[in-house]
Amino acid sequence: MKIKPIHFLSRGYMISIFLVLLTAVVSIVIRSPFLTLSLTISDIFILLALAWDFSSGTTNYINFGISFFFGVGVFATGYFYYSFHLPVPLLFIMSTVFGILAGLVFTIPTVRVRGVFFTLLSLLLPLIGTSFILAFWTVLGMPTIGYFDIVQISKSPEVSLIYVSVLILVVLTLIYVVNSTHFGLVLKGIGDDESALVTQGVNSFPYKVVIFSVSMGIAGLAGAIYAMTTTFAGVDAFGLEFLLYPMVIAILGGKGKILGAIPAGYLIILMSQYLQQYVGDLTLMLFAALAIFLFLFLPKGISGWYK
Amino acid sequence: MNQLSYSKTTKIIVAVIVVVIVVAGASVAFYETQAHKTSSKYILIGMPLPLNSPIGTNMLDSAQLAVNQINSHGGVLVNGTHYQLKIVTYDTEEADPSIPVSNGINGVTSLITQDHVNYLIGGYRSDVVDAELPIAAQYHTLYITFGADPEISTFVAENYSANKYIFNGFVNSTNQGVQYGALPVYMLLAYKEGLIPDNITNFAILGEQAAWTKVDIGNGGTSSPLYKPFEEAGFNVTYINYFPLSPPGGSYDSLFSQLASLNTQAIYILAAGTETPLLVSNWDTFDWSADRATGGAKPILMGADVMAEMEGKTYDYYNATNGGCNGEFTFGWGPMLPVNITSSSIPFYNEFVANYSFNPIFEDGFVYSSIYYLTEAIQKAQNLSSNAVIPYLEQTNYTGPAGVIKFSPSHGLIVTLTPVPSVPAVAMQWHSNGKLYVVWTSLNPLTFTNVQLQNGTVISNVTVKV
Amino acid sequence: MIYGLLFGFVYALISAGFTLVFGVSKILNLSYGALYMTTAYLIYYFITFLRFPLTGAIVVSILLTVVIGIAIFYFVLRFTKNANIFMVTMLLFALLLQYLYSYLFGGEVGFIIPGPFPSASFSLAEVSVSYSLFLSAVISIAIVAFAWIWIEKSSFGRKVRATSEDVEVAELLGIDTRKVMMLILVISILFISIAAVLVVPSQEVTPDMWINPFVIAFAVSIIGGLGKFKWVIPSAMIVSFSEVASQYLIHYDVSEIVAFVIVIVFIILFPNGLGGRKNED
Repeated sequence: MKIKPIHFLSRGYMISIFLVLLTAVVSIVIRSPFLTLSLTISDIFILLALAWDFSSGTTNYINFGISFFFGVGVFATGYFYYSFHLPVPLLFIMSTVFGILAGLVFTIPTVRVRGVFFTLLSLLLPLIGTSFILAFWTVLGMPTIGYFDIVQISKSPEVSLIYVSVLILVVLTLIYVVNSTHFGLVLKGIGDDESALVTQGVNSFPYKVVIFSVSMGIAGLAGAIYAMTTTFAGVDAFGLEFLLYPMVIAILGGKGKILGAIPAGYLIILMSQYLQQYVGDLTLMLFAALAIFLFLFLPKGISGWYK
Repeated sequence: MNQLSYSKTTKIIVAVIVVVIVVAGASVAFYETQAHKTSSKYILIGMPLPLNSPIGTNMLDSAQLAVNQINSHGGVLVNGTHYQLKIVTYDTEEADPSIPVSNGINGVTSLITQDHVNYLIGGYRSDVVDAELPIAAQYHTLYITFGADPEISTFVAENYSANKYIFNGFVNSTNQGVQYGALPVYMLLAYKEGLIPDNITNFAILGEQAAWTKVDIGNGGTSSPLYKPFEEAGFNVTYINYFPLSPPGGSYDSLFSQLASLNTQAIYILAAGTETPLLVSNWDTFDWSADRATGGAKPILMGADVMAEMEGKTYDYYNATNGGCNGEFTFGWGPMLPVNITSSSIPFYNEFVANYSFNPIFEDGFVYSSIYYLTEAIQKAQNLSSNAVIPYLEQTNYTGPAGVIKFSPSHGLIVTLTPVPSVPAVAMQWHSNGKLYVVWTSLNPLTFTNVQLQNGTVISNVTVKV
Repeated sequence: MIYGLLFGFVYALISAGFTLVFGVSKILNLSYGALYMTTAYLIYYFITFLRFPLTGAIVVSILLTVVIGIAIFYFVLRFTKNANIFMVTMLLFALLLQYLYSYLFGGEVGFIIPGPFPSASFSLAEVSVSYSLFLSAVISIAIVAFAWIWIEKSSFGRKVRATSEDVEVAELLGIDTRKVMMLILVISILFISIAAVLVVPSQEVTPDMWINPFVIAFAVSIIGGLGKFKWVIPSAMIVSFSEVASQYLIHYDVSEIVAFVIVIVFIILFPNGLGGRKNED
C-alpha cells in the first residue's frame, strides 16, 4: 500500500523538476523581460502554494496566516538589507529563519487546541499584519513607507530566475524526501483522523509545530524573493492576494498532492500576469469565485476528476 | 500496482502539462498581439497609471491634452523628421491600496520591454513608485514621476550615474509643508487685526498614521518638528500627534473629545488617504459644546486633505461626507478651479474642462507641463535617447499652469519662495452650498476671498496689513 | 470610560449572532462580517442610485441581507458537510463580496451613509457623546437583553438551548432542530444587519470593512465561550474596555494587537471561554 504513492510522487517529482527547469530554459531562449518577470512571480506563488499545501493540505489544519509570514520575510529582507547590507544569500537565510521563528511563536500556543481554533486564529494574522508593522515602524527605522531600492537577486532577470528555480528545486526535494518518510505518514494521519493517531500513541504536537514552522519559513523565503524582485518592502506584502492565490493554486493542483501545485501555479499566474491589464478589475473577483468552486466541487483538484 | 493504472497516471500528467503549456502560451500570444509596434514616426510615452480611478484617468487626460496640442502644431522635429507623440498606457490599478506593488513593476517592465516606449511619465502611489524607480533606471529609461516622497530625490542623489533617469515632477511633501503653514499664520493675523471673528490661536495638529507625515509629526508632543514653528508663529499647540487610518470603535469621536477638552480652536491635518471622509464627517457631527474656546462651534479644519479636493461626477467629497466637509479648508496645487497661478493656468483649466468635464486635480497641471518640457528637452537635444535628453531636461525652466518647473541636482522639483513661490499652493474651502471655492493662494498670502466663517457668513475680501 | 461601556453594548450586538449560530449548529459563519458590509453597501446603493428614502432603504437592505446570508449559508451547506471546507468557503465568500464591491463601487474611496439618528451630540458625565452612539448602544443592549430573556424563558428558547446542548438528544425529544437552526440563522443575520445600520453611519463604507466587525465578533465569542450566549455581554465589555484603555494609555494602533493577544491568551487558558467547560472534543 505504501508503494503506489511513492511511485506517483517520484514520477510527479521528476515532472515537476522538468517543468521548473523548462521555465528557466524558456526564459533564456526567449529573452523577454516581461516573461521572465512573470515566471519569477509565478515561482513566488508556487513556493507559497507548496508551503501551504505541505502543511495545511496534508494535516487539514487550514492556515490562513500564510500571507503574514510572507510579509515577515519581505520585511526581514528589507530590514537586513537596509540596515546591514547583507548579501543576497544571507538575505534568503534571514527571511527563512524569521519565517520559522514567527511560525514557531504562532504555532506553539495554537496547535495545542483544536484545529478549528488554529484556523480562526491564523485568520487574524493577516488582518492585523499591517497594524503590526505600523505599530513598530519607529523601531524598524523604515525610511518612508517601506524599504526602498532593495538589491536584486541578480542584475540579469534570467539569472535571477535560475537562482529562484534552484531554490524551488531545493524546497521540492525537501518536501519529497519528508513525504517519503515516517514524518510524511504522520502528517497524512493527522489529516485523515488525528484522534485515531493519538490513540495509537503518537504525539502529534511536535509534528504540527515542525511542519508549520518550516512551511512558514518557506513562506518567508518566498517573501525574500518578492522583496528582491520588486526592490521594495512595504505593507502591501500582507495583502490577501498572497493568501488567496496560493490556496487556489494548491487546491487546483490537488490538496495534499503538493507537487500538483507547480503546473497549477504556472497556469494561473501566467494567465493573470498577461491578462491583468485587460480584465484587471475582475481578476480578483474571478479568483475568489474560482476558489469557492474548487473548494466545493473539486477539493482534490484536477486529479479529483478521474478518481 | 499494475501496468494499466501506471500508464493512466502518466497520461493524466502529460495531459496536464500540455494544457498548461497551451493555456499559458495562448495568454502570451494574445498579449503579444496587443503590444504596440514601434513606428519610426512616433515618440512613445509610456504612462503607468491607476486607470481604474479618476486620479489616473485625469492624469492621462491632462497628458493627452498636451499631446494633442503639440501634435496639431506639427509634432516634434528631431534631425529633420517630424515625430508625433503617442501615449501608451498600462493600468496599474494602484489607487486601490490593497493592490500589491508588483502591479507597478509589471507595468513598467511591460511598457519598456514589450511596448518599447521612449520615456515614462506617471506613477501615483508612493510605494508603487518606489518599486518602479530601480527598474526604470536599470533599463536606462527616463521616468518623470509624480509622487510626493522626498526619497525620490534621495534615490537619484545616492547613485547619480545609475539613477539619473528619474525626475520628480511634483512638489514633494517637505516643500508642500513649507507653504501650507502660511495659511494659518495669515489667518491668525487677520483675526488679530479684527478682520475676521474666528480666533484660531489654539491649534491641534493631526497627521495620518503614514510614513510621509513622519517628518512633520515625529514622535508627537512638544518634541515634534512642527511644534516649535507653530508656537513661534504665535499659536498655542494644544495637541500634536498621529491619528489612525482606522480608528478603534469606528469613530474619531474619542479623539475629538480630547481636543474639545483642550479647548482647540483649529485643527491642522495632514492626510492623503481614504479615511478622511470619516474623520471629516465625525468632525461635523460631533458635539463640541465642551469646547469652551469656540463656544461650542466646531473648530476650524484645514490642511492637506487629498480627497477633499475632489468635486465632480465620479466622486464628490461633499456627497461622500454627507455634507460634513462644510467649512473645511484644503490645499491643492495647480488650477483645480479657475485661478491665476500663471498666465497659462486659466487657459489650461478651460480647455481641460471643455474636453473632459471634470475638474483637473492636484497632479494634472504638472502632468500637462511635463509633456511640454520633455518635448522642449528633446528638441534641444535633437536626439531621442534618454541619455541625450537628460542633460537638457535638467536645465528645464518652464512656466506651466501649476507654476515654474525647475529641477534640483537630484532631480527634485525646486520651489523657491521669494519674491513669490515659484509653485504656489492654493487653498480652497467647501461652503454650505456644496461647492468648492478658492479662498487663498500663496501668491497673495495677505488676501482672503470667499471665506466662509465659523458662523456661516461668507466674506468676499479681506486683506491683512503686515 | 463611558465610551468603553457604550461600545461594549454595541459589540455585544455584533457578536451575539455569531455565537448564537455556533451554539446551535456548531458551525462558524465566517461570512458574518461580510453581511455587515453588505447591508452598508445596499443602503448606499439604494440611497444614492435609486433615491429611496432612508427608512425604506434601511428596511429593504436588512431584508435583502438576510436573504443573501441565508442563500450563501445553505448553498455552501448543500455542497459540503466537511467543517473545514465549510469554514474556508464562507471566508472565500467574504473575500468574493469584498472584491465584488470593490469592482462595483470603486476600491479606493470611501463613503459615509446617513444614519437613522440625529447628528448632534450631548454631554454625559462630562464626556461628549453623540446621540448616534448612545442610541445605538441603548438599542443594542435592548435587543441583546430581549433575546436573552426570550432564550431563557420561552418555550422556543428552551428548544434552542436543548439543541445547543446536544443535537441528537434534542431530536429524540421531538424538537425540529433544522427549524431551530434556520430561525437562529435568520436572527443572527438580523442582528448583524441592524448593527450595521446603527454603526456604519459613523464609519466609512469600504470593501474591507467586513474585517473589523468580524474580528470583534470572533474575539468576544471566543472570550465568552463559543455558543454561550450568557457571556456575550461581559466579554463584549472586556474587549471594549481593553481597546479603549490601550487607545488612551498606549497608542491608537496597539488596540488591534491587544485584542489579538487577549484572544490568544484566552484560548490557551480558557479554551472553553469564561463559561466554563463543556465536555466535547
